Amino acid sequence: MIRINCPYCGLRGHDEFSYIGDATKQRPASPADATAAEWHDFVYIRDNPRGPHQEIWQHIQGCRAFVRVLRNTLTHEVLATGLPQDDLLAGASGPAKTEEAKTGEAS
Amino acid sequence: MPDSSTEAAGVAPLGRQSALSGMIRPGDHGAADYRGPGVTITERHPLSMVQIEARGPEVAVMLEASNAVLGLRPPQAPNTSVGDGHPRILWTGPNRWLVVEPESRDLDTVLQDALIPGGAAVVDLGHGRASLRLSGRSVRQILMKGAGLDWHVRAFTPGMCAQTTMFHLPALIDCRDESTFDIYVARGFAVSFLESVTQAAAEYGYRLG
Ligand SMILES: [Zn+2]
Repeated sequence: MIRINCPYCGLRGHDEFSYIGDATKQRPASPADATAAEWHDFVYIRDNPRGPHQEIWQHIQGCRAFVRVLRNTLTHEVLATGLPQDDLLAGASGPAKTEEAKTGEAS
Repeated sequence: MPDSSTEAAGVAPLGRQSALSGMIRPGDHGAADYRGPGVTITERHPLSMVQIEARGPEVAVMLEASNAVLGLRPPQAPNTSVGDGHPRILWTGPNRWLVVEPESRDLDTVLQDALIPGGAAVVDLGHGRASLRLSGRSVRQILMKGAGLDWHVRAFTPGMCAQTTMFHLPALIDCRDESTFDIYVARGFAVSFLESVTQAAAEYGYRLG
């Protein structure tokens, strides 16, 4: 089973989590001024990248916190997790690394 | 009207109705060895269960007010629980706790009066949850069958609690001592959960009390 490192609860099976969505999508900065096309892009348009991708999951069967997950969409490796506001790519805010990620680096 | 008849019979205003009423057959069941039943299963009832939660600067206010009214400070560390049971306070999420005690007063009103002025949210869960206590030398084997956490005696220690799934049902599991666990499930799942627990416990022998 894929395991996700909840910032509060530690490593848990992914069946405790619900997938919320693409974490890279930005809500229009000025909602009142956004055009229909901008709203359409925000609500409906998603890339389908291969490789590391940032997602928001929720630990719905646990502490119910939202969790930012850096997941390889090709291998399903969970490379890093953190709080929603964390920058997992920079690693500066100290996202917790999962055991899977460590294994991936070693191999 | 059934409600007025129960009131006329003098049922306490808080009177909890057990979710497992009639479902517990007291006695020893399953394949106990010479040592006797491996686990004792009891329903914890009636219980007061109240969720408290706050945000931002109101968290500190709520913690102080909780300490003042309960004589016990909600634990800061995630997935930990404190108290001897009068009350027991369990961390259930960021800035969120469950306060539990055997029903002896209107805990919901006590906490509303104490915490809501400081901005906390207080929600009575007493009618929504059921709780079993599992105690005995086989309790960790039963947990291993149903829930995918590390149940080793050195990994999951007294004062730790966790929300996970057990037998595919959402459950809050609280370690009271090395071989005693309190488990909370949604009331509507109580019978299903009891059946799963007793099936898992059958090979060790279990005592229903
Ligand atoms: Zn969690």
